[in-house]
Amino acid sequence: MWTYILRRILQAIPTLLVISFLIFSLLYLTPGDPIELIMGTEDEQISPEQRAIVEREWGLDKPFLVRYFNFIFNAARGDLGTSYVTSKPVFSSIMERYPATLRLAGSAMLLALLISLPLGITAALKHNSIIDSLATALATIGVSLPKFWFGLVLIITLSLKLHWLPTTATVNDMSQGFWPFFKAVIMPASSLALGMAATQTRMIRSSMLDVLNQDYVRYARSKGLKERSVIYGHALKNALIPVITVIGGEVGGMMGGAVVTESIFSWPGIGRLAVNSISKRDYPTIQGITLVMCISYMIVNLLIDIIYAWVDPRIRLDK
Amino acid sequence: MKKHLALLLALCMVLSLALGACGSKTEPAAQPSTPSTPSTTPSTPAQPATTPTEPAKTGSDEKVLTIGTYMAIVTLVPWKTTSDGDGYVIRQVYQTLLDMDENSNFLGNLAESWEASEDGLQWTFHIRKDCYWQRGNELFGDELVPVTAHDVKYSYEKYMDPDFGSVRYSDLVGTIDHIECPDDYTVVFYTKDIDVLFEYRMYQSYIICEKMIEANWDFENHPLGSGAYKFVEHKTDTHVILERNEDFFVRPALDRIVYKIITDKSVSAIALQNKEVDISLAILATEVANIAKYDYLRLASGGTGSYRWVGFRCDWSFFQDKELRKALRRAIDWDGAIAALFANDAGVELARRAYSCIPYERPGGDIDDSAKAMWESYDPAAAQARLDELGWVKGSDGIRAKDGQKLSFTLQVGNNDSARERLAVIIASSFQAIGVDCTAQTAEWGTHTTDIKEGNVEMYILGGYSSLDGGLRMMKTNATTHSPNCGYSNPVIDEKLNQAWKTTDYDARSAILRECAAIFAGDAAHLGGYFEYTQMGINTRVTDFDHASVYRPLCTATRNVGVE
Repeated sequence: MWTYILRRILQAIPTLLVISFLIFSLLYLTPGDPIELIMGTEDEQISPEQRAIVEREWGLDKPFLVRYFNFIFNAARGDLGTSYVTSKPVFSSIMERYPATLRLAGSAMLLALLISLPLGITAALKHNSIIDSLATALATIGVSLPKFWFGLVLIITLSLKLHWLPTTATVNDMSQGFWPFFKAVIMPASSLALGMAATQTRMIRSSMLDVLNQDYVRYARSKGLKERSVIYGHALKNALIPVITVIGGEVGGMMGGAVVTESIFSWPGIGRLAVNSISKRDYPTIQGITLVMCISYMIVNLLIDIIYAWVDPRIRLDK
Repeated sequence: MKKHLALLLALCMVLSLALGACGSKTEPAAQPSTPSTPSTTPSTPAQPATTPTEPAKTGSDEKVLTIGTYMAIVTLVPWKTTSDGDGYVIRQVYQTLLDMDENSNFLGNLAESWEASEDGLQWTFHIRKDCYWQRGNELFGDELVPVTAHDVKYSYEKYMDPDFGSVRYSDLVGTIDHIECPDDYTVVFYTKDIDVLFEYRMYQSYIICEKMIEANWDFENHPLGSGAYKFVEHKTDTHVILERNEDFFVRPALDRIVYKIITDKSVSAIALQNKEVDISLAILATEVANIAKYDYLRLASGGTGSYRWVGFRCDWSFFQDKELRKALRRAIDWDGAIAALFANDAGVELARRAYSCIPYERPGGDIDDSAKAMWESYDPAAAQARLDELGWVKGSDGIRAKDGQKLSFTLQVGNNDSARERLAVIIASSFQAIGVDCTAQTAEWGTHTTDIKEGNVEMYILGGYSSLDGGLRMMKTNATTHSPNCGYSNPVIDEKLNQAWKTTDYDARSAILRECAAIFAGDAAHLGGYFEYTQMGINTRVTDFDHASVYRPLCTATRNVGVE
């Protein structure tokens, strides 16, 4: 197992180098004057002496490849550069917001699983029943509803009409206890969870249906095992493998920040940082976020592979 | 398997709870432990002050004003900021020499009075003797230290140092020759030439003191000035909290000000209706009617219209022909377009047609209709006839052409404003109706502004430049950039603008600017435009907020915003 993990980490290095080169090159070629961004004086005149000072201080007077290698060397030490706009270190700006994104992602995933697992299993077990049709319809609706629309509906209903919850998040951790955090996170998490729960429900349902028709399930039943044991002991375990793949993709996606949801609910996560950075053309921050997103995806994929082996012992990672 | 399932769920739960339990590190606002060097150097470490305080929790008698702002804080360093969102906060913590009201009149702020010499080259400011640096921090402790003329001199000299990295460097170096302090409360600025915007510059730059710089004070995380409100905390992308400065020369009416950062304007409007915020800074046109129906809310505009215009690139191909530009202008129903974009059930005026490029409220605004007189009435038939006269006749494909060149171009608009995008479609379809092949094209905002600056657009929509020098920058010849003057050049206007910028008398200067704006309108450098009046939603419990602006200090000698 450890050999496999080490091998995967080593394999990730060239991938990251290619990605970082692409990101760096694309942003290098993007139009716009970094000096103006740093000085915050777009459309204002910058004196040549001031321009020279800024170029020297920020290393912008160096050739492309030197700048790229500096970026890689510094990134390897955890220094992703300095924001053109805020003059803050990019790494600290990202890490400042990352926990909030992870909290939201974790809460949304928990909520999605709480909905999708019972619903998907029930729909499969009660195949072609009203419950199945209802679950399928709910899943279709959940996938179809845009997150921003559902988010606004939640705010209008639960905040404006019923006054149950605050419109925006005033806390994003449990420093003030569970309930303030719960009240802050439940709407954005629900907004994110809806689509995920719908996808997972459909996946669990179809996967369970496949598995329930397998010989070994019929054999287990013919042996006289209890239905609960057949479902949870044999069928669900195998049905979860494709579901884990879907969940992995969703988790990886959320690691980059739920851009729309974070904006609507004013959740101070990495998605909002990404939006602000893009709108202000803060290239070092965009670079940093993209790189962190890539690394997150790689870590999630690695975890998924490990979970595969855990769920299905037939899968041997180190072979 | 149940065990596996339970483990999976438990893992999610533990992850979210564990992460939730990880509160942010708290740093006392007024006692920075690790001050950083204030410079442009990228190595300056930034240490977020993230005290996890819920702003809504206040004592029942506390006077708290909660402002919903859609703009994230970029920086709280006073000489680095260019964003209005930063300015909302910084203007309360720091003082500037002067303040400016909704009619562009200058008022005293740190300066009690001021005068210019007869030749306009010497400006003398008399500083208030009852302004002090904020106390209760490591720098000043409990000592009451007055703000003096030497602090003003020091601030401006720092901002004029290229190594210091002030965003005002070029402006100040271009105009200030040297500064003297005849006594502790008098500061005299000697200028290189007459600068009619000198007071404006004194409204833009914040006053700091030498002691802060020497102590490497962490301006980013612990703003410290002499303003009416003291900085308490900034929780990134969440809120900023300020509290009353008891030493201010007027007792500020508010105990605390909370800036809640609500990115989505629709959500901000809901928070206003829900009484979670007292002021919502930008109400969308679609939300205006919703706000207007509540008796505890009112709408008010900031006072000055923001110019949005459709510009020709005047030095490009056939747009160099003034007569062609004028003919095209007749094909656009501006009144109809503005009504289509901004009509609302509440009957609130969200936009007003612009005949001049200078806002009505600014010096030189078209208050005497001199620019309006330069506009022909909307008449697409007359536009077609004029195009025919100019030789742009329709071909077999219905597109007008002259000398083998088709009247075909792209109208580019940025993706930052849906009203502008819809305007682009209205204009393109109006042109197509008279045989002009115009394509509306939306571009990413940064690309759009770069394209305009570099002259890569034929026709474009842009907004802004409604400040005191906006008219000058739009009308005066500029050989180095195409923004905001898109290739327009008229020596007569240039001469008059030079004259205006040497005219210290306000009325005389306004008259010259009006004259320039009328010539500019007559030359049809812009296809047209409108002034947008951004509406602010305000709870009626907010007092002394007649000028609906939070970009001004909320507490001065003439204004003290409070809540009932």
